[in-house]
Amino acid sequence: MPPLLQVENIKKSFLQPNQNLFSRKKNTVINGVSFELKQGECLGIIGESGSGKSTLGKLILGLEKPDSGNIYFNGQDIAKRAWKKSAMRKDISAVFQDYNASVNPYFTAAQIIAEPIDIYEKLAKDDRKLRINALLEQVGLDSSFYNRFAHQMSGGQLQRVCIARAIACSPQFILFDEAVSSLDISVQTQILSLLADLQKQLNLTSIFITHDLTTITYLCNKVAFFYKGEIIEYIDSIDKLNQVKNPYSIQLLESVLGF
Amino acid sequence: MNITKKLINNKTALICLIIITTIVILGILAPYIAPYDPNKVRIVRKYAAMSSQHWLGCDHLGRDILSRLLYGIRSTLFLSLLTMIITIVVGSLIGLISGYQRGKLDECIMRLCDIMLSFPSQVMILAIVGVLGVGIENVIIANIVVKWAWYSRMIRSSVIKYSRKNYILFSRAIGAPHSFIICRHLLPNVMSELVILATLDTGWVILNISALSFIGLGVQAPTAEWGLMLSEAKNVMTQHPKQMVFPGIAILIVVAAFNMLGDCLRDILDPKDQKHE
Repeated sequence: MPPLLQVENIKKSFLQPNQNLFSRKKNTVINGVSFELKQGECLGIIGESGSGKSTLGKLILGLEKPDSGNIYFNGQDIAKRAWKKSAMRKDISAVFQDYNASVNPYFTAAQIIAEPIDIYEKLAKDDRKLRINALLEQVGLDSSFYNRFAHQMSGGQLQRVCIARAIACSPQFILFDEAVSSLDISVQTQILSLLADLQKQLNLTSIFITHDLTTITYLCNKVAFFYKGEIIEYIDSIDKLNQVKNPYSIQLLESVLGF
Repeated sequence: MNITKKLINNKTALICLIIITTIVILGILAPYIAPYDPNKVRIVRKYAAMSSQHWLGCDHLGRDILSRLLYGIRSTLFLSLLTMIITIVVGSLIGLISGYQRGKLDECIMRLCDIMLSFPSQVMILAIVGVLGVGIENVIIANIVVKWAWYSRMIRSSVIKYSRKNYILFSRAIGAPHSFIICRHLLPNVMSELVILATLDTGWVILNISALSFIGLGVQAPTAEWGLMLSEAKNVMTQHPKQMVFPGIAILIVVAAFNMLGDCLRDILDPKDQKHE
């Protein structure tokens, strides 16, 4: 079976800010990253802030174009024009860190969740309502949230709504960019167990971008250590986590687990 | 959202809104409520004082000032609003394209804006009216040419600000069509800023059209227009100072109402405020 997501040697650099008119100095943010992800796998990408892991996420979602290298989803190059119009785009989804900025303040929970549904499936009014209520239930909220605005919900509830939006069109792949990092610990565990359940139910393939190792040990079966724009160590099974060799990975593990 | 409720709770905003609405209605109903024909010359009543027949007196040709003020709403206020609407539509369309597309097109449009904004607006308006000729159509065209760049700039920067928000990133990631992102996400957010800008600016446009009519470049006699009325009254400022009072007050009230409404709207529509309910 071909890999669902294939990332081939991608590089990305940004222009340095505050330069004069003629200089074009660049900062390399992603420096030759490659990996593959098969259906049903969950990859955790861990690295410190500023290591470029969020940029990698944006590249995978097609929000930024890599300077070189290719990203294939189900065998299709996502930089190509054909991909931009392909119906397969509904198979990719995302949950971001900042839940407040993740939803339009003028939308109710129902409108937020309905966004992908309205774009890809034209449902009749009643079906649409049923579907939204089912999704709310799936993420552990009840139908009283249907007409609530973002500022009428707590962080954890809002992130649940974002997750409901992400799974609304049953995508094959979801990217979680620090999806639980800004929630408090007790809510984090609730959301993590919700995600673990959803992963089993929907047979999701996912990437978890985070700086927190506990999240990864809870959900992922593969781990990539990300440092200064490169994957410095790749572990294809979470059980081998104690066999890491790279000094940076060891340092990271020690700081969290206290070896 | 309960913007209406907040609007009602804010006394200043409510009063301004009532004043503006009343004036607009008076303007629309002018032919039915004006006591006299605004252009009917009756030289015997020249500079007539305030009386029960002529509430605000008569001007240098014996025309009823109240009637002229009421008809003046149509030219002063409605022409300003027309100018505003065209400017906003043109300006925000260009700003939206510029901010949404980015890249080379954005660069070109922004440099053009820089050029437009580098001229003092009054000088530019005088120059354009000078080239195109005297008349209200040309004043409106000049106003639009001078102001669009200003709006494009504002709208562009807020479009860019909102484009970086996660919900728009999400829409782009799942491949939402541009029309969806623009109509559902960008416009409602940009609109609140646009309303504030527009309200604050309406006062400026009213003053501008009145000022240009005052110096004889805008609305031409005998049309009733507040700036023009002031200009005609100015000739007899020493002998009949009362002639200037009513058109002056009318302009003052409308401009102040628009400016204060703009200030209140800024407070009311501030999304940060909405979270503390």
